[in-house]
This record gives sequence, structure tokens and C-alpha cells, in this order.
Amino acid sequence: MTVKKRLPLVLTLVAAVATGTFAGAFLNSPQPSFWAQLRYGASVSDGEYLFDSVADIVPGAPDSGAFKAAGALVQGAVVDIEPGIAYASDDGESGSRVVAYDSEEAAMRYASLVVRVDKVLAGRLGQGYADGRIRIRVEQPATTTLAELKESVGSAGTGLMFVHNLAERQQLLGRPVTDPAQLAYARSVHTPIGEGLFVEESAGSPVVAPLMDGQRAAQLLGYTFVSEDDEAEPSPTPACDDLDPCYTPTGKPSATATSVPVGGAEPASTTPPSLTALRSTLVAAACAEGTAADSSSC
Amino acid sequence: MRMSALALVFAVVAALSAGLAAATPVVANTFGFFVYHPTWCCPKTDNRDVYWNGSTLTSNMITAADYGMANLDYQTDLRIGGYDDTAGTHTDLVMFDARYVDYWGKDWDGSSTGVNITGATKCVRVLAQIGGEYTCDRAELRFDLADMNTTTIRRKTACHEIGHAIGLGHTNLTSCMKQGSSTTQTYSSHDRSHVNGAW
Repeated sequence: MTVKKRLPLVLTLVAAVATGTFAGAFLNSPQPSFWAQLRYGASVSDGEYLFDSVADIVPGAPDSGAFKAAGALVQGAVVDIEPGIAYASDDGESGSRVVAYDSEEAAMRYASLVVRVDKVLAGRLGQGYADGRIRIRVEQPATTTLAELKESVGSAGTGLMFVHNLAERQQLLGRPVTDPAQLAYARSVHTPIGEGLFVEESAGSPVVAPLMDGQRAAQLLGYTFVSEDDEAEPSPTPACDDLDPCYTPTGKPSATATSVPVGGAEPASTTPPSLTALRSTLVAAACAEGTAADSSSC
Repeated sequence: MRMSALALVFAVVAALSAGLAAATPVVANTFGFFVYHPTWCCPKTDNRDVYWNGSTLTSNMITAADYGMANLDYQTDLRIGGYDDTAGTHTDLVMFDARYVDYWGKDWDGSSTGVNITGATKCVRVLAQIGGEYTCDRAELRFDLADMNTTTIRRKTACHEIGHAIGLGHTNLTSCMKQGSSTTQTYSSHDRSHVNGAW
């Protein structure tokens, strides 16, 4: 038999082996966790941090002028995820157009995490807190679907969450929501404050901060961030001169390099703290601000 | 020339396997988005020739965007396909600027998130490729004019957001991909190796 005559057989075999290889790669890969799906592939926002420590987010913490502390710190578990609000793209600066959640026009989608509130540790929850539950708005990445997120919600675990009702927050900031449709939404959801969701995916596992950049989480939680990018690189070349002046900060206060992580002066670990340890730290900070819900814990 | 069918099968399977091994990151890194080895950021651009549009940018910002795209072309194996006068179906990067307040539901001045946003990038047309790798057919880059005060920050931010749009994540190295008030306006050799390794 010549190669030409064997070609269909060969191609069939190759296709079968290749398909099997791809299928094997998928079948052998672990299903990404809920937070991995939610965290990765979202939009990327860049800028300057406006606070230095988790103590600055705790309800009752002083207003820096640029950043206001959370309305509440809760301990709870994510039990479901629902569609929230979606925005289209355009070139306006006054605001983006709201579109149906499943619209093809939607460029940015915010889902609502349904959180069973186990305990309000500090501050108070606002509108939208009903039946022991709140809804927290989070961006839904374009790389995952609500159905996939629902399927993996069992891996979401429990966490400590800094939140504020969105409508009340906007009112506090002097930017009240006036559009009736958006107002109804804003009243129904809480927004994460300071990207402050700290989650334990399984009992005793290190805390993850799914809304934060890894280095930022390490700074706030007091451990050393280890990345494969932490390799030596030549020293920087000055990138500014008289014609091209160096960046000068805006008038907005920014976080300094000498931050005060919760870990204190101890040598930094490469492992995030446990949820229990973080909770103790945060409750102590709430006690110091006089906003702890249970004063007997202070 | 003749070749045994079995040898041919092995040759093709070996080639396929080698291709798979090369395409699958061994560990998470800061370039591209593979569903089973996800990184913080971002789907890589879906083709080597990058077309862009910034027709509504203010004059200072379009100068910075021009710089950023020229730098991308100069520093990496990606090629600037051209500037589209209007954003069409094959436009890969579309850039906007404004004094944003709550555009896309984001908190641009940071009073809730704690991050005063200077720029943001979102892949608005994600493509899922075979093998679980996502690529980006269209990314939107937005610059907050309230923060674009100097040539340096405009160029740095343009370089940074363009980097996200093609798949680069944040880094600790001396690079425009570093977060915060860095003044570096170019990519590091590490960034370049990520990009050039893919193209």
C-alpha cells in the first residue's frame, strides 16, 4: 500500500490522537476555582493607591479627603451569583449607557455575589440587606459565564468583606445616583470598599484577596509577594529631563511606600495570614475606631 | 519517496505534541490568559499586526499614544499594522480619554476603591482559542485626563495600557508595566521576551 493510499487512515489516526491529547489536557486539568474565574480576565485599572493599611478601610476610620472608609465589615459566605448591571461602550465622559445584561452591546458587566451574612463585625449594612443576605457587585470577566461561575460557587468559601451600599455611598460622596433604573440597582447592591474582599477558600487555607493585584494584597496583609518576575533587572535609566519632566503626583493624596501592613515589624512571611488571624486584626482596628458591632470582643 | 505510514503518524503526533508543549505555559506568568494557568491579566492580542484608533483623543494624548505604539513596534516583534481613521472591524486597540467620573461603573477618583485610576484597559471582544487560551480581538484603552498632567505620565500610561492590551501584566521590574508612580516609558527585556516568544 502506498503512502497516498494510506493517507486517509493516517489522517484519521492523527486526528484521533490529537483529539485525545487535547481532550486529555482538559480532562486532566483541575476546574478553576470560583475566585480564579472571577479574578482573571477582568478589566485592568491602573493608578495610585490612596490608603496604606487595612485599618484605613475599617468602618469609622478617618476620612482622608480622597478616600472614605467602608460602611460595614461583614463575615459571610458567597452562596450564589446573579446578573447585575451592564454598560455599553461609547466615547462619552458623562457616563456609559446601561444595556441589558445579556446584550451583545455590553462591554462591561457587573454580577452580584449573593452573600449570606454570618456576622456584621463593624459598622452597619445599608439598603439591600434582607433575609440575612446582601448582594456585592463584582465585575464579571468576559472569559467566563455566569453559568460557569454558578457551577463553581461551592468553592467560594467564606470571607471578610468591606462593603457599602452603593446608593448610600454615592450620596455620601456627593454624587447621588439620580437615574431611576440605576438608583434601583444601586439601592439593591453593596460595593466592595478598597478592593477589600478577603476569602478563605477552604477551612484554614491562607486568605486570598481576589479583587486585588497580588503585590497590593501582600502589602496590605503583611507578607512578601513572590512572583516569577522577581528576577534581577538592570538598574533604571533616568527617564525624565527638562524637556520631559518626571511625573508629579496629582493633588490627591496617595499611599506611600512606607506602608504599615497588618503584619507589624516581624519579618514578612511569604504566606498570607489565616482568616482567623486577619479577623482578629480587623476587629481590633474596629474596636479602636469604636465601630465594632460586638463591644465585648474589644 | 516513500515513508512508512506509522513513521508518518509518529512524526505528525510528535510535532503536534511539541506544539502543545510550547503553547502551554509551565507556570503562571504575566503574559496572556490560559484558562487553566490564569494570570492576573490579560488575553494577548489575536494577531501580530496591531491596528489602532484614537480619533477622539485630545492632542496631547494622541501624541503619547503615537509614542506608545511606535515604542511597541520598536521594542517587540509585534508590528503596527496601521492607524485606522475610524474604528473598524479589524481595529485591535481603540483609545479614549476624558475626565472620567464613573464611566463603566468604575470609581475613577478612587474614593471607594482606594485606587485613583489613571488608565484602564478592557478586552471587549474576547476570542477563545483551542486549548483554553483566550486572545483579544478588540481592546479599549481609557485615560483619565484628570491625571494626564505631564508628557512623562502620558507616555508611561500609554505604554502601560498598550502593554495590557497586548497581554502583559504588572511587574516589579523596571518597566512601564510597573504599577504606581514609575516614570519608565518602555518595556523591560522580560516583557519583550514574553511578547516576542508569542509572536
